[in-house]
Amino acid sequence: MSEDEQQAQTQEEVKTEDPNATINIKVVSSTGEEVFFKIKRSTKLSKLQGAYANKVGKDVGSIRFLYDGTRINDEDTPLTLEMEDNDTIDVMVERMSRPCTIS
Amino acid sequence: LLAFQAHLEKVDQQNAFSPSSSMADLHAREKTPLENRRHSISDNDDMAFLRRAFDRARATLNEPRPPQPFQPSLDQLRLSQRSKDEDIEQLLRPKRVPPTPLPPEADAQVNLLLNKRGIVSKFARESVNDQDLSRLKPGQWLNDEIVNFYGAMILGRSEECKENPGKWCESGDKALSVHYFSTFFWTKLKEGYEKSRLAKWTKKIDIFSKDVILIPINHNNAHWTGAAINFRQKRIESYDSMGMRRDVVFQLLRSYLDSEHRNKKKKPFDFTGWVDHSLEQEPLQENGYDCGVFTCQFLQGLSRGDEYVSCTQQDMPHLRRRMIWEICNATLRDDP
Repeated sequence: MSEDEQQAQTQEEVKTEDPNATINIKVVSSTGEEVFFKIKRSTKLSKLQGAYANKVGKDVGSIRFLYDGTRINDEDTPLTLEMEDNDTIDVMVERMSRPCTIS
Repeated sequence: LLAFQAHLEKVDQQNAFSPSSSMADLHAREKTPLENRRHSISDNDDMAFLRRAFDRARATLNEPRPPQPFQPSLDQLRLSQRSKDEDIEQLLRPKRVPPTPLPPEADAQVNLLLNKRGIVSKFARESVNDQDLSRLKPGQWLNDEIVNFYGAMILGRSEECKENPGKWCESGDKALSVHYFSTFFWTKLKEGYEKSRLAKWTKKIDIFSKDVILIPINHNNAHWTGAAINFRQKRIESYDSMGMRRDVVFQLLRSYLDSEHRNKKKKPFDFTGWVDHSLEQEPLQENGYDCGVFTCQFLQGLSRGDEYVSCTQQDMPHLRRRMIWEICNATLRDDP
């Protein structure tokens, strides 16, 4: 599993008031760059999405966040998605920005 | 022949064959006028008879010609065999019904829907905004949001079908159990099953218990095609509106099946009887932007067990409007 290949580049803390209720989440871009977040289980993941988009300098509307293949909605929290410590979120880019051609 | 018929007629008139007249009173026979005893044809009789014969002949000529005796050529036989084959085919499979344009009131609604701003529709975990929706206007290429929204609706309908058979499915058995993988599945699969942690994508479902797994594929951000793992028919299926055979699709989906089976069932997948399948006469797009619509319709049809893609290039303009209606109403239409 890819936990082995931890090439942490940045560490960012969104919320740290209650250490007992926080989890670490790794966000992996489509090109393999990883950003780590520590957030409360009850924090809306929209915050994490906004913070990530800011960090990488992308419009949040042009990227999609997936947890184990499930599209993350703004209302989702680690609790609703049953996320565990050290889980990974995949960042996908919008598909189809050019006309279809034979590839 | 004419002379003989005339003679017979004359004989008839004379009651020549009547025994009573000839035998009872032989004298009476003597008295018959001379001209009637002549064996040559009288002028009067001849005229009347000829007129009748002439009328008959003319009537016959005016009648429709009798049909030629039926002697089928090889080609005709082959054609009739083929049409019989087609009839049988139609009986075995549901008829290919081309999609119909929206009814006028729904079509009018589409114009209003296109004016909406912000998030225009939500279904399951998917949502579509006005920017995404505008890609369904003519001549535009679809993005992943539209394809995934459509996929979520297909999945929703199949689940609904399983629970309350009716509408789309005559019986519960017939309704296919479907799973839809989003457009991101293919991207991740290309990176590798292990690396992409694809095993976790199915932590809540068992794909081997399904009938069909639907997979939209984006090729290098430039083309949409549809693929499926069809457990019912033991087929890996690929549909490309550009008509290309996608060997990489078959190859990667086979390796996915095997990896998933090893991961979940702890043994290799048994590919006995499995074939790679492409539609023989797949409808093709005739431009550079309709691949997404074709792909959505392929997946939609497959989820209902169709063996074909029922739309063609000429259906694209109204299918796009239909999809706008369907997405904004978060429901797939029942009409063909």
